[in-house]
Amino acid sequence: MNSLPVLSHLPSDILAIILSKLPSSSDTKSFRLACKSFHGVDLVHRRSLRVLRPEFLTTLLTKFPHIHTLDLSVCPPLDDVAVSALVELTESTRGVKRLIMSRLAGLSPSGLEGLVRVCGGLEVADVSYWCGFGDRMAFALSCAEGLRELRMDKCLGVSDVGLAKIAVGCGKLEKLSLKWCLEISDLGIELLSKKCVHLKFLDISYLKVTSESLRFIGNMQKLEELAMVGLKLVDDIGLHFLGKGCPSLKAIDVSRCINVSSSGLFSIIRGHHSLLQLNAGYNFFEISTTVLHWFKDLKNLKTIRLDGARVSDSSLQIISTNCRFLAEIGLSKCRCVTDECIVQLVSGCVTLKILDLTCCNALTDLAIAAITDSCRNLLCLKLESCSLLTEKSLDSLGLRCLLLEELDLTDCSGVNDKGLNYLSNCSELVCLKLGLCTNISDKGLSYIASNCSKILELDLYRCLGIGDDGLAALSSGCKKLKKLNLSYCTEVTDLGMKSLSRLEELSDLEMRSLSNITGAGLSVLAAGCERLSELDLKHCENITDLGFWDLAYYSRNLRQINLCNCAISDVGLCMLMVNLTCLQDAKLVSLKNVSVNGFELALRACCMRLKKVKLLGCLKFQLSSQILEYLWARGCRIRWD
Amino acid sequence: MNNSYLYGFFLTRKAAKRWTKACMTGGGREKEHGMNLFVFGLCTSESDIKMDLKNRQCPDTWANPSSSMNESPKKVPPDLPSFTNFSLHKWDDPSILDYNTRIEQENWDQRMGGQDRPVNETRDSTSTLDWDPRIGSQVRPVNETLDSNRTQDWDPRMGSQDRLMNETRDSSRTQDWDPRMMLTNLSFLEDKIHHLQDLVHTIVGRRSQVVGPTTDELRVQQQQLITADLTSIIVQLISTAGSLLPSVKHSLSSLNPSASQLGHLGQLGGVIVPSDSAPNGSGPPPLPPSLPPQNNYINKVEDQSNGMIHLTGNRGPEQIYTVDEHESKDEEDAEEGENLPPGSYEILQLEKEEILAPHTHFCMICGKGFKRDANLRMHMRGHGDEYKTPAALAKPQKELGPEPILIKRYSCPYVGCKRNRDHKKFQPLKTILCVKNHYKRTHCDKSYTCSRCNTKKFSVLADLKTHEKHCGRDKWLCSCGTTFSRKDKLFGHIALFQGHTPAIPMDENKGLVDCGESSEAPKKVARLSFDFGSSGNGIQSGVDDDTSGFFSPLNFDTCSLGGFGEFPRPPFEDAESSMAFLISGSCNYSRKNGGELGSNGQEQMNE
Repeated sequence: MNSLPVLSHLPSDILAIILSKLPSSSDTKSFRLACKSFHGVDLVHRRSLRVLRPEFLTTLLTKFPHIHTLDLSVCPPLDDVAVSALVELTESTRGVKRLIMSRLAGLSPSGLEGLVRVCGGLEVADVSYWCGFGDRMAFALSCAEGLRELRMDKCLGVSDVGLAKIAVGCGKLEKLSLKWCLEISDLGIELLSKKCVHLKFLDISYLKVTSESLRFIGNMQKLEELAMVGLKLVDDIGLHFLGKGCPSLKAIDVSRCINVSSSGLFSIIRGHHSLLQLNAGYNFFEISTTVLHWFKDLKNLKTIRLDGARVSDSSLQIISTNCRFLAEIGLSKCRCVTDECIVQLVSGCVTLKILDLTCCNALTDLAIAAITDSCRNLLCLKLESCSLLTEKSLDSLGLRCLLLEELDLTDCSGVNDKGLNYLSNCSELVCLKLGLCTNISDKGLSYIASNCSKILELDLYRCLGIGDDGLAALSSGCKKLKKLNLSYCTEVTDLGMKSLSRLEELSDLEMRSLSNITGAGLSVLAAGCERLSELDLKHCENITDLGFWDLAYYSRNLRQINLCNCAISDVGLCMLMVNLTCLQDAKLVSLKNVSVNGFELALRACCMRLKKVKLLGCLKFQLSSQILEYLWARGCRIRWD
Repeated sequence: MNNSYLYGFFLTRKAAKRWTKACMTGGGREKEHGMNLFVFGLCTSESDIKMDLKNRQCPDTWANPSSSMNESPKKVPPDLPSFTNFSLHKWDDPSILDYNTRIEQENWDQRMGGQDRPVNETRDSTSTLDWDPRIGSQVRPVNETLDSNRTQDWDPRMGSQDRLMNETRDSSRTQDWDPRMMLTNLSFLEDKIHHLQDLVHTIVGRRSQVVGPTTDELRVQQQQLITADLTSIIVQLISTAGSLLPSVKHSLSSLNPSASQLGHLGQLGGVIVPSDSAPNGSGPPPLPPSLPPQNNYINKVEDQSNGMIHLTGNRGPEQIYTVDEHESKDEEDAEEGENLPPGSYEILQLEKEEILAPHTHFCMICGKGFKRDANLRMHMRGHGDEYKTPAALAKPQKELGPEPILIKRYSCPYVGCKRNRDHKKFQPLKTILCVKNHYKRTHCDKSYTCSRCNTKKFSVLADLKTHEKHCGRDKWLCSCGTTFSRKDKLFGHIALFQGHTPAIPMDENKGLVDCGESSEAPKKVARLSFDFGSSGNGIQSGVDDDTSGFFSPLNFDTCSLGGFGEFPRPPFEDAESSMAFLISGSCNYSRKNGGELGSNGQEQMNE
C-alpha cells in the first residue's frame, strides 16, 4: 500500500515502458485494474484488441484510440450494423493495420467492404476459415490497396475470379496464403504471379494446380518462401521450373506432393544453394544418393524435414557433415532410423534445436544419449511411439537438455514415475505430452508439477494411473497451465475437479469419459476456472443439471463445448445456451434427455452467436425449418451426425 | 434431307456456300429454289453424277472464274465487251471452230453414253462453243428422243408466245391428275424396265461369249442405247411423281436431263471464257451499237437463253449460281468498301418511313418496299412492258431486260451519318437489307430486350436472336465491361491491361461460387419472422443501403477509369462480342463509337 503513491507519481511514459515489459496478459489485466492512471496508460498504449462481444466494438474502439491490431476471430457472428457504426469513428479505426477476421461469420460483402474502408491503412488481413468467404467477399476485400499480408486459408468459395480481383487490387501483397482454397486453379496463380510481383511468401498448399502454376511462380523474382504441400497434380517438371526460377527462394515445402520424385528435389537443390528450409516429407520412400550428394551445397540449410522417407546412416552422415547449421530436422515415420543414424546425425549438427523422431520406434536410450550429448540447446524433442526408451533417456534429458521446452512422450511405455522424476530437471518445459503412458502415476506427475512451473500444456490422455492426488499436485505447481487433457483418466473424481478449479489460467480442458465426475465437480470447476473457453465433456454421463446450471452461470468465456452423450436435460441445455454469451461452437449429439422442443428452444436462444453446431442427423427433419434457415443465414454451419 | 442432298451437287464449296446464303437471305424464293434444285439433283443423280464427281475433282481450275463470270454479263456492263471480244477472237479462228464443233458433238454423244472423260480432256476447247445455237440444233435430235417438248425450250429462235404456250400447257397438264393415267404410266414404266433388263442381259451374255476385244464402237452404241432408255424412264417416273406435287409443276419442264446437262455446259462455258478477260468492273461502258453482228448474236443468244429458262420456270443450275452470286457479291463488296467510282452507280435514298416499314419485298429498280410479293409484282408492271407478261408476274425476283441496268447503291437518310450521301467519306450501303439494318441499329431505339439478362438491348430482332444464343454464356466480365465466354480469355485480358479487374455480373451470379451464403443471408434474416427486435431490422436496412452503394456499375467504373485513360480503345480479342455487349455507362467510350463498331460487326456477321 505504501508503494502506490510512488507509482502514481511516475510519469506515464515510464508506466508505458513498465506495461510493455509485462510478460503475460493476466499481468496486464492486473496492471490496468490497479488504478485510474494505470488504466489511462493502458488505454493510450494498447495496441491490440481482441473483441469478444460485437456490441462493444464501438465503445472499445473509442476508448482505445491507438489500436493497431483488431482481432475479431473469437467474436460471435458480426453483422453489418456493428460495422456501419464504426464509420463515424474514423480517427480511431484509421490506425488499424491488422485485422484478424479468421472464422468470422455473418458479415456481408458490403459490410466487409465497409470495414476495410473504415480501416484505411490496412496492411494485414486474416480471413482464414471464414465460412462463406467467396468471390464477393474477395471483391470487397480487394479495396484494401495497401494490403501486405493476407491469409485466406480454407476460403472454399474463393475462385480464380476472387483471387484475380485481390491480385489486381492489392498489388503490394508480400505474404499470401491460399491454403485449401480449392477453387483456385492455374489461371488464378498465373495472374497472381503477374500482378503481385512483391510477393515474398506464398502458400498454395492443397490447391488443384498443376506444374503449369509453378512455371509462373518461377517467374516471381522476390519470392522467398513457398509452401506447396499436397499438390497432387504437380510433378518433377513443376519443380524443375522452380529450380530454374525464383531467384530469392529461401524456404520451400514440397511435402505430400505424391507425384514428385528425387529428381524434382534434385533440381530445386541444384538451383537454390542458399536454401534455408526444405520440407520434403512424405514424398519418396528413398532419397537417392545423388540428391543427398547435392546437399553439400546447402551450407546454410537450417531446417530439413524428410518425414516418411527411408534414410540410412550414410545419408544422415552427408547431412550432418555438410549442413553444419541445421537447427531443425524432421525424421518422423522414417523407416530404418536406427541409433547409428542418430549418432551420425548429431555428431555434426550440434546446433539442433528441434528434433522430430516421431514413430522411429527402433530408437533406444543410446540414441537419446547421443542427442543429449551433442545438442545441448535442444528445445523440442518428439519421441512419440519410441517404445524402447526407458527412464535412462529421461535421465540424460534431465541432465543435459535443460533448455527443453517441448517434449512429446506419447505412447512411450518405458516412461515411468522415476523417469518423470529425472525429467523434472527440465524446468523450462512448456509443453509435455504423456498420453498413453500407462506406467505413470500421481507420484510421477507430482515431480513434474513441483519443478516445471512453466508448463502451459499437459496431455494426460488415457494415463490410467493418474488420480486426484496428481491433479492436486498439478494445480499447486503448474499455476500457468492453460491446456489440459484428462480424457479417460477414469480415476479422477470431483475432488480432482476441486483442485483444478485453482488453475485460474486454465482455458482448455478435455475430460471425456470421466464417469466419476458429478454435477458438483463441474460446479466447482466452473466457479474456479473463469477463463475456461473450451470444454469437452463427452460421455461424462454422471454430470447432473445442477453442474450445467453452474457452468452456465460462471463460465461466461466458454466458446466451445462438447456435450455429447451427457445427461443434460431440456432446461439445462436451454440455460447453457442462453447464458453462455460467448458460445460459438456446440456439439450436441446424443443427448438422450433432451427433446426436440428442447433443442429448438436452445438453438433459438443462441442462434445469434453460434458459428458451428453438431446435431444428430434425425433432428434435420424434426427441427423447424425456420430455425435451420436462420442458422444458415447467420453463417452458422450445422454438422449432422 | 432435301437440302443436304442438294449440297452434294454443288460443284465447289463456294457455290454451295452461296446457295445456302441465298436460301437464308432470299426469303420466299428459297422454297422454289430448293424444289428446282431438288429436281435438278434428281436428274443429275442418275445420268450426270459421274460428271459431277469429275468436275468436283478439279474445282480449283474454275471455281474462281465462275464467280466472276456468271454474273458479269448481266450485272456489270463493262464486262460484256470483253466477253464478246474474247469470243470473237475465238470464233475468228476457223480451225478452232471446226475442232470445237467436232469435239462438242462427239463429246455430247459420249456424255449421253456416260463416258465423260473426253469432256474433261477437251473442256478448254469445247466450252467456248457451248452457247452456239448450232450446238443446240445438234443436240436437238437427242433431246427429241427423250422429250419432244424440251427442244423448244432450247430453241433460241422461239418467240415469247411459244414460250407462253409451253408454260400454259405444262400447267394445264399437271392440273388434272388422273389416277388411272398414273396406273397406266406406272405399268408402262414397269414394262420398259423389264425390257431394259433383258437388253442388258443379252449384252452381258454376248460379252462373255466374245472373248476377244470388242470394238469400242459397239460398246459405245450399247451404252448409248441403255442410257437413253434409262433416261426416258427416269423422266417419265419423275413426271408421274411430279404431277402429284403441286410445287413441282413449274419445274416439270426442266426435268429433262439434257436440259440440265446443257446447263452444265453453260456453266462450263461461263467458266472458261472470262478466265483471261478483263477484270471485273473496270471495262468500257455497255455495248456500243457498232459491234460486229456475230458479237451481237452471241450476246442475244445468251440473254435469250437466260430469259427462256426464266420464263419456263426452269431454274437450271447455272441460273441458280448467277442468282446467288449476284446477292452474295453485292454484300461482300459493301463490306470491303468497293472502289466503285462515284459516278458508276446510282444512289438511292429511301425515306425513314420506308426503311422502318415492315416490308420484305423491294423493287429492284426504285427500291420501294412491299409487304407482299404480289403487290410488288403489280408494282413492277409500272416499270415497263416486260413486267407485264404473265411469266414476269409469276417470277418477280429477277431483274430482267436485255440491257444491263445500272448498279444501285443506297444512302442512309440520316444526315451526318457516314452512310449518308452528303458525308465527306460517304460509304454506300449495298442492299436494302443493309439499309434497314444499318438504320435500325444506328439511328433507332433498341426496343428488343433480352429476356434472359434484361440488360442487352437491340434494335434488330436478328441481333437479339444472335445474342440470345450466347446470352449467359459470356459470364466472364471485366471491370471495363468486356465480357468473355471463357475464363482464360478474361484472365489474359486482365493480365494485359493495368487496372482491369474481373467483375461480378450484375444480372446473375452464375459462375461465382460463394454468393449463396453471404449475399443471401441478410435477405433471409429479414424474411424470417423471429422477433429479434431492432437488430434484425437494422441488418436489413443496413445491408440494402450498402449493397446498392458497393455493387453498382458506377463503382466498377471508378475503379477502371484510370486504366482506360491509358488505353482509349484496347484491341479486344473477340471484337464482336466485346463491342456489341458494352454495358451502358460502364466504360469511357463514346456511345456512338461503340455502337457503330458494333453494328458493323453485326452486319458482317449477318451477311
